[in-house]
Amino acid sequence: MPEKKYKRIDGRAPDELRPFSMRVGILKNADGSAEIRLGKNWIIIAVYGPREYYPKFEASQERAILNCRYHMVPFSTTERKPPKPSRREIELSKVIREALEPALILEEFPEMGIDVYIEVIQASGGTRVSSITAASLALADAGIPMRDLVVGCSAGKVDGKIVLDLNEEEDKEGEADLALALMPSLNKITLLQMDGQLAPDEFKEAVELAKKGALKLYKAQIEALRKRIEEMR
Amino acid sequence: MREKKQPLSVYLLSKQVRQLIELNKRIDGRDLYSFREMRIKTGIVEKADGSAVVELGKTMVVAGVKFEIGAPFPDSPDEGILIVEGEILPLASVSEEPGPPTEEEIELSRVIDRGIRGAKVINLKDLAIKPGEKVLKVFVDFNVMNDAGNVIDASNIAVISALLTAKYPDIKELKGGRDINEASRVQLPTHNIPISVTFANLFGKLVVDPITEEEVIADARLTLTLTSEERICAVQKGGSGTLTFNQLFEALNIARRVSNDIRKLVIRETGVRHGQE
Amino acid sequence: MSGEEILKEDKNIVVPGEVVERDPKKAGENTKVTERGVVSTRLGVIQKVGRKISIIPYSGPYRPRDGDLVIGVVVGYAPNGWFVDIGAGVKAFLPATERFKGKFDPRIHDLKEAFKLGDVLAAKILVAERLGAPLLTLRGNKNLGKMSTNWFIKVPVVKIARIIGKKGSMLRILEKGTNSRVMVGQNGVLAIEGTYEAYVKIKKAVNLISEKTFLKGLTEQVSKLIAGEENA
Repeated sequence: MPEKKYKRIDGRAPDELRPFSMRVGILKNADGSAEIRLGKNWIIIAVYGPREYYPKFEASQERAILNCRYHMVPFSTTERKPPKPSRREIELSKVIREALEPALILEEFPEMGIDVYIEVIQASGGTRVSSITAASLALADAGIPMRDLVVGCSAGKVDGKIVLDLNEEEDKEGEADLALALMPSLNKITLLQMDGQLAPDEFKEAVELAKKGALKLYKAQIEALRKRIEEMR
Repeated sequence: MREKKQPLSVYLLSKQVRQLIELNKRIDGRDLYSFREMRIKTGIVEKADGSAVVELGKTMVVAGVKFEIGAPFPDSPDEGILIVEGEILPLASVSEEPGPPTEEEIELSRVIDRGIRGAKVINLKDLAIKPGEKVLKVFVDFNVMNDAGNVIDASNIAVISALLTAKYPDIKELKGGRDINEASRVQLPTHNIPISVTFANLFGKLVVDPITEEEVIADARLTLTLTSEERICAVQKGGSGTLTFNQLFEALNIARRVSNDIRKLVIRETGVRHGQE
Repeated sequence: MSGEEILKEDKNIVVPGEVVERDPKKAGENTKVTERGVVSTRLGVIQKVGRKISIIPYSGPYRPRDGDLVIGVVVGYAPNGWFVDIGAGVKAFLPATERFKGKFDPRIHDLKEAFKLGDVLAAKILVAERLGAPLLTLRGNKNLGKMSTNWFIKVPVVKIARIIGKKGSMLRILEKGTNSRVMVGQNGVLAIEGTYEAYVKIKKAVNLISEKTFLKGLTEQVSKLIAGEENA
């Protein structure tokens, strides 16, 4: 029997991203803001800072302290999620902060704090990497000096095949799910997490695939940022 | 009025409020009794059973409805449960911080809740599956994404728009033992469209739909929530200042006029008329 | 495509991480010298200033510099002075001696009589880099001190240069066309001394400058607006 072209649950090719869009500068009060949609994911980011860090005795004399809060609204998931931060949200807040920190030139703002607030309005697989991609835009929108943007993408193993950008069903039913974020011009990894099981060559394949997906999203990041200035011409 | 930290721009602009209000002018050029431009979009979160995003000027609120099955309250065994809760997110302004609900957020939630309950938007008896054992619980959560003033009215419109367009699992099917995730979805029967109108008392003059620069300098705040029949279903005076009785009754007259225009907008955007079964 | 290759289109608008120049000696404002070359640290537009390549940033916080004229709001009292919000992450400090001509005596002088909470002041930054708050002074300009006008406009800090214009040309259009005086705070605050109508006109013009900063013919559009020939 001739081999049919492999199609996933939602009809995508193995290396195909879900439809996505990015917008910069959508909230008025925040110093910087952005929105990302990827498949059913809808995430809004606000950046405040640099601003006074409290409590003062915990501020650093050498650099600004980055604070990151990943949070989901109660109606973002299939089952209602109570507003209080869950252990998952707390862990994601930490790894997202650690994904963004290397890109920020925090030494320029000693004694201060920079707050990144991530709010997931609808979640459908890959929210942490999408949050990082959008947070990067919001930080650039705020004018925080950066060494590079940060962009993230997921890949994994579903039905025995290595695929890009797992949606919620693939995440639940699949054999492995890998989240990657990097600084694309510097080619340095800033977030890497995995769930499930992969053989070493599968792992390598998944990482390379996630990177390819991330670079496609990087292109969109640049367009979204450049658009802001083009609108001023 | 609010002692919360504000950005420099708010302090600077609020200095003009007094000078202008004496000429019956407002700093954004509006009439005393005009709402800011409002945009409503519903059904924007697929996973929610009902949802809406409202932009009132630059104030932005997202609301979502989720249904669950649970036990009824012991004193009302044949009624479903409605829970309305909101948060002003840290995204919303420089003064918001992550943490447990503040007294402001709790007051906000309860005022919106009273308006919905007082207007009897939903008949809770419609939500009983097996009296005494199983009923539908309706959670309406709302989140303020940007606070540029008057989160009360913006939140109320978001909540009501989400409820009016919500789809709930067919009770007949649930009674027959169907799983909530498998049951057909039907329009939630709603019976009223309560609209809140919030005023700020600025140096003796009332203004409708205050922006942040007006809120920080206002004497007091008054919210009147009116049903589709112009009956009052919730009232809240806010802030540590005062109102006169004259102002109260003047506000009621203005609210009756103004709420009807807002209701027309909600009906247009949601496609739902009140009193529909 | 690699990260580097993606960036090759449209060299005039740059994003953080983009290489703008190979020669490290040409590194200007908002750039960083790295092993890849001179890299932009901001979203912005490339500008050649003399021999250096700088980036005009799209946005960014106010970074106080010595000598800056700033307009801020009194937000707190200290035993020997006032805390002033100048929109820069950290509050600035104005010593009482600045107002009481070097002879401040807390037994006789009441801080609140000079400047109260909520008062708007014009001041100069005496020392920006200081552990704690930037230090303010009221000396060096006769217009410093409490502001009598109520007409303020807050603009993004990065737009101030464009609002002033080359050798003050844009600012003169705003002032002459409305018969008013505009004091410009480097922290993004404009104070208008004039009528309410003048303020409304200037606010419209300043919004146009902020939204269409890189428009060709912006100066002409602003002149038209001030003259009353408004376009849609």
